[in-house]
Amino acid sequence: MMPCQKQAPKIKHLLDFSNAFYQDLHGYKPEQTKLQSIPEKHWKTFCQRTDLNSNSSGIYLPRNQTAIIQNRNPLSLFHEYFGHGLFCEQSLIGRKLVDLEKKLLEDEKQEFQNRKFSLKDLEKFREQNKTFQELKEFRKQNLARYEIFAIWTEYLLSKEFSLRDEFEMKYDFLEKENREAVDSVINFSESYGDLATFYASGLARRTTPERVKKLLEDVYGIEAVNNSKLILLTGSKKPFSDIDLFACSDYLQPTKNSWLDLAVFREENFEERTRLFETQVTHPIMAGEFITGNKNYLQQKRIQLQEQPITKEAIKYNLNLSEEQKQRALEYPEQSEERKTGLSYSETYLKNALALKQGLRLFTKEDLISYSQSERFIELKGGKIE
Amino acid sequence: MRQELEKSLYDAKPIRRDLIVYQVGDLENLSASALYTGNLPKFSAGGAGFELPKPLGSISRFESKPIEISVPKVGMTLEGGLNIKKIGHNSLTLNTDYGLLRDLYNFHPDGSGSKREITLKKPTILIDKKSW
Ligand SMILES: [Zn+2]
Repeated sequence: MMPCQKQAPKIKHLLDFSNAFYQDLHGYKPEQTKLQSIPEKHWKTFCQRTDLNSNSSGIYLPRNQTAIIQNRNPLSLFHEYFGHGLFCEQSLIGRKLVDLEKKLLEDEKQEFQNRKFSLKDLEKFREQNKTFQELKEFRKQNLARYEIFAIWTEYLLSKEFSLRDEFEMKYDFLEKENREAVDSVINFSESYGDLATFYASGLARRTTPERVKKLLEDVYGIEAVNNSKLILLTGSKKPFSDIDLFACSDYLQPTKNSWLDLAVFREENFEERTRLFETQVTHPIMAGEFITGNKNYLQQKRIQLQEQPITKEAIKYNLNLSEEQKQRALEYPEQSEERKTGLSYSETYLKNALALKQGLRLFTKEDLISYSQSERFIELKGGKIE
Repeated sequence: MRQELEKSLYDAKPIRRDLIVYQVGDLENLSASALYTGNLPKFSAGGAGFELPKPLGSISRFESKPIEISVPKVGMTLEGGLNIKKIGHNSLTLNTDYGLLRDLYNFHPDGSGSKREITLKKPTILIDKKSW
């Protein structure tokens, strides 16, 4: 690594404060990203020696995950270190850029291990290298996402440090299209909050009940969340899967996108479906993690499911649902997502109906899956139900 | 040679690009995909990659009846799929889906409690100021 300018206390303060801000919001902060600060008078020469474009006010190098800033410019620190740096650590498309660079680096080390070379030699080698071609294409495709995220990061942190005027001045030059792209993300963050913006940008989600509650309050408003009877976390909580939520609420709207999947049942409807042992509600009641709402109510519903009688109506209801889902699914073309999903719902309802018929209370999808592999299920499925 | 390069790092005299000689250790710093700030390329319009919620398919896991317009509450769904985002003093902020940023509406019923039809891009909703 090049000799590094000792960081002034001001940068240290910016780093400490921002790190704490990220840790609190996300449960993580930049860890692998290195920071290098170059005095302005040496910027040009530095860039030339490392073959970088010196017109830039800051640079991020995916190869060694290094943020390079001119002097101790706070906005550059936000952009390069917390913007590109964090994105390359905590998003899939950021990680891929780093991986491709590292792979290319290995190829280059092989090639040049025993000889000196010029930039021309390096360029020549890269032009015929497959990884380089892939990297070039990948960077081109995702450049807007990297940059918009980094600019939005500047916007976000400039507020924390009262540097909004500097931010506005810096991006005054943006062309119309770029301005619009940046504005749309800024508007999104103003409407739905910072966490939602990070998640919509593809950043890793460290899902905890507290964080999800905050996210929902930002998106739907505190009142809507507080008025909801029950909100539960149901999914895998993997950092790059969507956040699966279940709500019994008259105040929330269901939604599904790449990072948030909120199923909502109106209160009355929820009661009805609980009575009929419908898996769509029994699964979250039994397996869901409490986020907010009425904890006693959840406990009541759990007891109700264990104790209420299994009625003929409930069995029939689940059978009918199975048939209905199947019919609807078959309206979609073969191989389509809709058909696959519909058929799998249909299957789940059928399994549940058969289990209920045997007096079995299988509340979760996992229970139903292991049941469908049992002999009793296969026997029943072959025969008639009623 | 590497040491010479580092020594010359802060040397203000420009060197001809093709004359610099590198060795294997220098590769660590010769990134092939540096991200620059200051000379941004034009972003393609749809390239922002901001993901908006997909419309829900017709195989739906829920049947949420739209709530009739009565006393508006935050989070309430109105006819036409509009969702109340904020209630201000005599004003409502609505959006069609919380992720569709372009479809955020603000409106203020005027007059002294008279019914007023407000036409948004598509849905038309009836606002009765008396009811709230
Ligand atoms: Zn950048």
